[in-house]
Amino acid sequence: MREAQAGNMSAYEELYRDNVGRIYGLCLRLAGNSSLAEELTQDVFVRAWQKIGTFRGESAFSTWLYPLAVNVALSERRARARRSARVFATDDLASYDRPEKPPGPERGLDLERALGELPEGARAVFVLHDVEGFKHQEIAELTGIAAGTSKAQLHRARRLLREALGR
Amino acid sequence: MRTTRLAFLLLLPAALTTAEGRIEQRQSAAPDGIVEIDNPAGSIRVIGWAKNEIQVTGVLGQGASGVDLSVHGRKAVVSVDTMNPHGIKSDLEIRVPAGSRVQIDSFAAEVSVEGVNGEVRAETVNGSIRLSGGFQAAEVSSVNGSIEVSGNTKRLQAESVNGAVTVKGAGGEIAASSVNGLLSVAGSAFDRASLETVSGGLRFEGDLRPEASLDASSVSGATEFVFPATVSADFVITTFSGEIVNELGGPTPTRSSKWTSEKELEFTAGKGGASVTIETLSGTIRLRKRP
Amino acid sequence: MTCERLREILDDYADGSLSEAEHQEAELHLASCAACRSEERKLRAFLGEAAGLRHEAQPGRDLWPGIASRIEARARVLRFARRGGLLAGLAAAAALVLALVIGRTPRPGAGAASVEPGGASVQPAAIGTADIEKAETEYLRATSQLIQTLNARRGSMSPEAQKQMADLEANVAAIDTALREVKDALEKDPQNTKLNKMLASTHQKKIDLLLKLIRLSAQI
Repeated sequence: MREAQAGNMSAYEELYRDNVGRIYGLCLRLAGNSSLAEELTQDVFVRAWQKIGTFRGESAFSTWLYPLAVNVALSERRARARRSARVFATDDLASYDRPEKPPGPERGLDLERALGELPEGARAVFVLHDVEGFKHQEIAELTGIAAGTSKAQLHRARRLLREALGR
Repeated sequence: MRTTRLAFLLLLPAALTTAEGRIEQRQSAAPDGIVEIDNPAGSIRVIGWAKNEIQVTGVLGQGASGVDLSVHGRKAVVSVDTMNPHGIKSDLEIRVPAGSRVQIDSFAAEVSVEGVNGEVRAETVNGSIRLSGGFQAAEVSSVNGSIEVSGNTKRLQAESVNGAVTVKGAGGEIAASSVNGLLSVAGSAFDRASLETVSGGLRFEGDLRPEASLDASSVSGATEFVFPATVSADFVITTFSGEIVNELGGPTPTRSSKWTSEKELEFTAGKGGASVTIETLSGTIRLRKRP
Repeated sequence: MTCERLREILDDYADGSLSEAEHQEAELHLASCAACRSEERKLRAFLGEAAGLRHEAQPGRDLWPGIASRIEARARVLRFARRGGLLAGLAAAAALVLALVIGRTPRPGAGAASVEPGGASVQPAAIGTADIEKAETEYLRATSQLIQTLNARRGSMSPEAQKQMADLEANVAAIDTALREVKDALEKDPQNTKLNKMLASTHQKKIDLLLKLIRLSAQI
């Protein structure tokens, strides 16, 4: 870690390899498609490199990295979506949203797909609360929305998902 | 279904907007440590105080997710967390130990620093920069923002592209430059002053100490120098195609060459001692007496 | 508590975020209402499934090369800006050439030849012009490389950032105007020390501005 802080790229590459699975998984869920998730994952690690001087070593690197990843994924995604909006025609919104199919049991597959089709705000909160286990107060701090809004988005997400899945 | 989804996406920015947040954070810090401040837009006000502590207060803009204040040994970092340098304005007031070395980086924030007697380095693109008080050394630069420095600095470097650069109460060593902006320097306690512009105006007003040197150059910007009647200095003035207007007395400018319009003027005012060198391509050079 | 009310607060109940009193009421209702109990079970099953979704996924390709190259590109740009880069070195070399030239070029009014320290006498006309041209070439090469770098970066910038850059680049045009003026003057008096010095320092300002623009383009 200290080597990575001192600017050693190969030390940082190790940190990358140890954490990319978790980060990419998160970006994939928040982004809804793999190419955007790949870009976001790169954004996260570039950003973490810039900020690595402020990592105090009080927690594990992954604990420090995770909220940063959420922050980057949510704000960069908006910026990148604006830029790629020029490329996609309105009809292509469906393809923009289409989720990847990660391997897993059949039921998980349905839920993943339905998740990919949720509106972004609701999806972000659902992923953070029900999948990743953050509390509403933590989500409020990470995303900048009010805790009450987070709750409302969560309940909406659950309702939409359960309706879509017939559960 | 498709239209509903489109409607959801259009609603998205509203759904994820932030509530503005007041912030207050404090941490103890070294009395002469480094303080790095990063806020892309809005305002940054740095105030030096006697405590060995950094205090950050203010209001975070919508879309910023927080202010990070971290102190690691002798280095402190204050940074507003946002990926987007445009449009998210946060107003920060940061109190730092007066002996700190302050480094500010911003795209568009209005920056002001007062009461800090360590070193200050501030860089912006569109934001203005105001320093006041006595600094050991200051290095400030902006592209479009104006720069204003008042108070005694031992070493000052101020650079702007379009913004005006105004220095008052200049002392020690000064290097100020601009491309288009107006350079205006007033002072009397300086040792060396070097003023350069391309097409902005250049104005100097003040007295010269016995060993002081003032070097000024402009390509096409008009220049004006105002001295007290009692000034003592050796003047060397040249312009390639501009005009020299001299109210300080002495000889008239002479043509340096038969084939070009270049003019030179060399003379000593008072007892001499200080040195003033002024060069322009086509900009006017005006030497005036303070009324 | 009615079934309608329980359905309203079921999410909060499942999350354990109800007040003590409401929680008790909900429990009481659930104990005696099969329909609501079934609904609660379905919600818990659903939430269990959500929590069980895999947290990790591997990207389809190795993302590290892209990350490493972005980090290195940024470092390179910052190094240029801090005047450690090759281009700044070129510009410094050009300035040195020019300074040497100025040292040898006679002051206006002096004789046709000047004497160097060491005694060798120098033909100012021939050497002066060639060296000045060499210096000018160096500057032009440096600036065109910087402009190429800027243009290469432009492609990956967002439209807002591109507009910002266009505004900033208008300042380069102001310096170009000044450069033209100085060169015009030099045509009339090529040996003029001060003009050559002014040409060199105006070139330097252009390079400083381009370096600044490149550094900014990394941040926008």
